[in-house]
Amino acid sequence: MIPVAIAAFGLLMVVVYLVGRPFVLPMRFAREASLEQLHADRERLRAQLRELDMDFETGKLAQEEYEKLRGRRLQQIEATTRSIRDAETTQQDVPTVGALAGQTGGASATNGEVDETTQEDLERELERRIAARKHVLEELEALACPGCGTTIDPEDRFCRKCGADLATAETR
Amino acid sequence: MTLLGNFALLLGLISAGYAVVVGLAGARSGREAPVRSAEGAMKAAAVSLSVAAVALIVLLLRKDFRVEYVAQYTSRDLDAFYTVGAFWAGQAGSLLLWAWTLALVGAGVIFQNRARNRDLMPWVTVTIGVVLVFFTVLVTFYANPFRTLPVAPADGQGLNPLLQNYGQWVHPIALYLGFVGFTVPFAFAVGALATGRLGDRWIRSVRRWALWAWVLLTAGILFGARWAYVELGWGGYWAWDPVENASLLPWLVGTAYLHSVVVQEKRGMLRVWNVALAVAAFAMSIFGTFLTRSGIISSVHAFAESSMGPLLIGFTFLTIVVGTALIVWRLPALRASGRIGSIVSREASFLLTNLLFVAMTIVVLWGTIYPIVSEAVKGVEVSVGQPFFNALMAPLAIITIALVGACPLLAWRRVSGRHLKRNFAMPLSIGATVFAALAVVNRGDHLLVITVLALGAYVLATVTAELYRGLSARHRHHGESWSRAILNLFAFTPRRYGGPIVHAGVVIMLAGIFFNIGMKQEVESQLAVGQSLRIAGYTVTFGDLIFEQTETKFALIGTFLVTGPNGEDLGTIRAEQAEYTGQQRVTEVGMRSTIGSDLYVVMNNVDPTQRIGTVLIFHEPGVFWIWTGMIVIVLGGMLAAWPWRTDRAGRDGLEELELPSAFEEPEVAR
Repeated sequence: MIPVAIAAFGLLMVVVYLVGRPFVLPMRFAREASLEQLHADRERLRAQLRELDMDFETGKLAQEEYEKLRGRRLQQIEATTRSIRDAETTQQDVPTVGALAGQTGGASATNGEVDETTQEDLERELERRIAARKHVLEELEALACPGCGTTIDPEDRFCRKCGADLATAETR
Repeated sequence: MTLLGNFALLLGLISAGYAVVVGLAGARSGREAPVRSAEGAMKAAAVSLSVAAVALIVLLLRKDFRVEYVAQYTSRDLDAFYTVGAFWAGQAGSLLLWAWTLALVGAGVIFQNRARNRDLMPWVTVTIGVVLVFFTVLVTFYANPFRTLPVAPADGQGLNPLLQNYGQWVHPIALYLGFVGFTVPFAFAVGALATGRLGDRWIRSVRRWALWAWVLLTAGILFGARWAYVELGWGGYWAWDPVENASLLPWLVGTAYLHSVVVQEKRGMLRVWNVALAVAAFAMSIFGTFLTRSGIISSVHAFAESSMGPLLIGFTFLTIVVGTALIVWRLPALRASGRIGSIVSREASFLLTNLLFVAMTIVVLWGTIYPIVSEAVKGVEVSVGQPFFNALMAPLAIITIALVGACPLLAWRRVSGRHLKRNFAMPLSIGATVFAALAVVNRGDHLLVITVLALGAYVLATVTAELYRGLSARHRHHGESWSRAILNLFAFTPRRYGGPIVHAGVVIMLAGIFFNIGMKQEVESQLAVGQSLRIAGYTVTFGDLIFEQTETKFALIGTFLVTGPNGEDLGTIRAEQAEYTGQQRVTEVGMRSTIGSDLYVVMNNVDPTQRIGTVLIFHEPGVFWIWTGMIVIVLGGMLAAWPWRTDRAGRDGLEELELPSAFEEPEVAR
């Protein structure tokens, strides 16, 4: 009976810990999550690029189509790479930038210590920059016809090449 | 120990419920802490249900007959291997297995996505949570494996001898994992629908889960068919039994899903199809559980009737209703962003594949539920026999083979005549040659079988050509050695080239099935020792009858001498009729298997005093190829689903890409 009671109590504690931890110890995942998502996006784009190459090399895609799609993928990969680099540098810079920000903000920051409001400001700034990067990516995608991949103007209602209705197409 | 088991079940239920409620709150408010807490609760549910599962295993191994479930499915003389296997021999244990594996899968998904897909995760957690709550409620209140008996019996009833086969460790587990696995694409589809992120991210995030679910379901069905063949003694491997159909339904829908998502990934099309198929695959796995677990249908699987039928069918409907409502709500955003340009294109062929699989699903579904519907409406129970299924599924299967040969060769968007000629000339001529050769040899008989075999040869030629084209492309364009090219072909484009291998397996299997059905022979006769039967050129002589008594069974063993068409000795076959203590009579099939055909001997109604018995012999051509095809399917699926490490390799060169000169870093938009 006693071992069972101990086991039950142990189980209960594990459950309480798993459920309660996020409330007690706030997890600062947001930034890593964005970065991780960017890495995942890039990996996904690269996989698409590889498949595209194979499609072309094995005769599953016409040359013209292939070049268009490949160009688009490369741009997307490059943009993601820049976003990642940007996010990573900013992350590494946090202490120094933080110190600077602390000084200019006139807060009680000495020797690189940053008070909480400044830290939050910085994180917000960082998130804003990541979001902006994502926005660029989305714009890049939006500037191609979802049907045939031809470059389009933002004002276009229909695709000049294939005539796809751009107004109803989802902008990703 | 039962106390601990029940406590763990309850804790699992509470955790899952908490995950649903708090997860929903988190999803609506967009705050991080509740979402993470709900995810923690899912992990807690996984831990709790693991404790419950371990408690049941301990009770089984201790042979604690105070526990009803242990008394029902084990006995003192059952060895440890099958004692643990008795975990999923009955209703309550099976449902605990469902809930437990679902909780583990849920925790796995949450761990995998701890820093990814954060927008979708609240909904994924809530969806998996709802399913988990449902199954934990069933296990806790309707079929509790920890229920105790007022008085412990001296010995348990023992495990059904038919289940005392290594298959008990593979078939049910693989099927359950497959069923459970389809929860993940469903949960992500709900997440995508709820958040409106309907791009291909959700599909890519669950790609591996869906592939593994499919591989396991396939493996489960394969083992089930093989098990039925070697164990049940009716000379078949598939009888369109409702419980068999229960596993085939999610398999068919899941197969359609795996094909259909490719089009969304590549072209952004078929979005409605994909969310609908993800919902349907999951709904079918719940419906499959309903068929097996409700006792509503009569089946060789002979599961007990239970009170949970309405709950399971209700949950199936709930899934369909919620899924449909979400899809209708998002319909404007789901509209395709492209159009299928030509009827002869890769996109069109994928659409055709979808339609074909949906047609097969409808046939199987209708044949399965018709007896239930008929009983409910007319009050008469009718059974839909094999002829119905065979008549409808055979043409669909032949179309499938033809499509498998044609679709992968087509190009995206549009196909040029030159392309068609280059890709189809060789395989088509191989198929035609095989057809002509076989037709001549058989003097025009067995045309159906010959057509299927010729189509099979054509498909195998296309698959070989496809693999060769891929390999030579890597060899030529990437300067890889041939051995390197083989590795990289699967590592870099696993699904593209795992797929053709699966296709080859499907065709080998279907050719085996058609060959078997078309050429199968059987004889049955009462035979005394010394007498013989002739079948398909073989002579099978009842050589001897011996007795064998062990602690658990009393067996009559017949040895049969096989001689070939020219009188050559082909060895002996041993068939058995056994009586297990306290259980029904069981026959053990005797078999002589070769690449070409099996001789399958069943001995029944043996009279040991007169040394006479009823002997049933099947000549089963092509069965070897059915198993071979199924194994190739599973291996191909594993190749496609394998978590290849390509990140490192993928980096080379891509870091320093030469970009179009016009491309400048865009201004950061604020």
